[in-house]
Amino acid sequence: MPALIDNYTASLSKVAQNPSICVYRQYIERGNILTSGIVVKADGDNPYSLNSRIMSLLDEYSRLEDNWDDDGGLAPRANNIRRAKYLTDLMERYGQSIYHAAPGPEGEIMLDLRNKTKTRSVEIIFYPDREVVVFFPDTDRPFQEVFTDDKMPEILRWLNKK
Amino acid sequence: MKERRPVGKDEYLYRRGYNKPEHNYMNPDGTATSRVFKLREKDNGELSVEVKSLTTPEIAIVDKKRYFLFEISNAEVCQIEGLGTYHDPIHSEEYSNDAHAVIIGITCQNDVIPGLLARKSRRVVV
Repeated sequence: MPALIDNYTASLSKVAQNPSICVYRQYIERGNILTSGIVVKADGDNPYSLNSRIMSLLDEYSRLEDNWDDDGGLAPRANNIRRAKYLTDLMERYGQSIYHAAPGPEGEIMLDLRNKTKTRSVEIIFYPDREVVVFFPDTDRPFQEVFTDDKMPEILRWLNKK
Repeated sequence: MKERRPVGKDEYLYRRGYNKPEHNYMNPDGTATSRVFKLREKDNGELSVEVKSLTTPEIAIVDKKRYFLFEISNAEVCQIEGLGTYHDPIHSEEYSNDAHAVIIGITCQNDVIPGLLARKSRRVVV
């Protein structure tokens, strides 16, 4: 139930901040999202959704070519963009904002998630040959693990714990 | 193997991050992302930096239309387990740079250290 409440409050508060532009197509969806029974799904094309800036960035990055940084940087691979978009959409459903997305020199895409006070963060990095999650605690030493989608509930619990 | 002199821990280091007005690759608040400190295969295990006391921000940034400049305390770099910073001046017919140095001890598979370095750095507005 807390997950359900969080999903509603995060998404609806966003709408409440922009009452005059409310063409906010949302619907209730049951099942299929890891742990939540019911979640609010936001329209990914809606410019007022929680992570629309990240989606726009990922669209931009998908158009980068090799040597995009004038230093031999590899263009982001289509599959890495697709994976990053999938996760961004999933975070939208969870009501979790993504702080930033950035391309990297090896063709990777990095998603940076932070807690509300920005004292704790997680980077999820999609490389052409591997996926990694890096945890940056507020006091302890950071650590990295292999990323898999089924770790997301645990990752979000770690990120947002009080 | 070249014999190298360690950079003093009281020094600060500059690192450039690629950035263009039409493609802002940095964090929304202008700070560096971990990708700025990400080692590339072609770096051969040595992350290029410049020693602040041996250059100026204007020289270190090379082209402010294409780069952001970040600085980081070498003491903080050396606090990270396994890292060391060494002077690596470049002298060739085409290019000379006395301020060039390298951070060694990072691997391409390590994503903790680039994130740590980014979080310890701060932007230098040029």
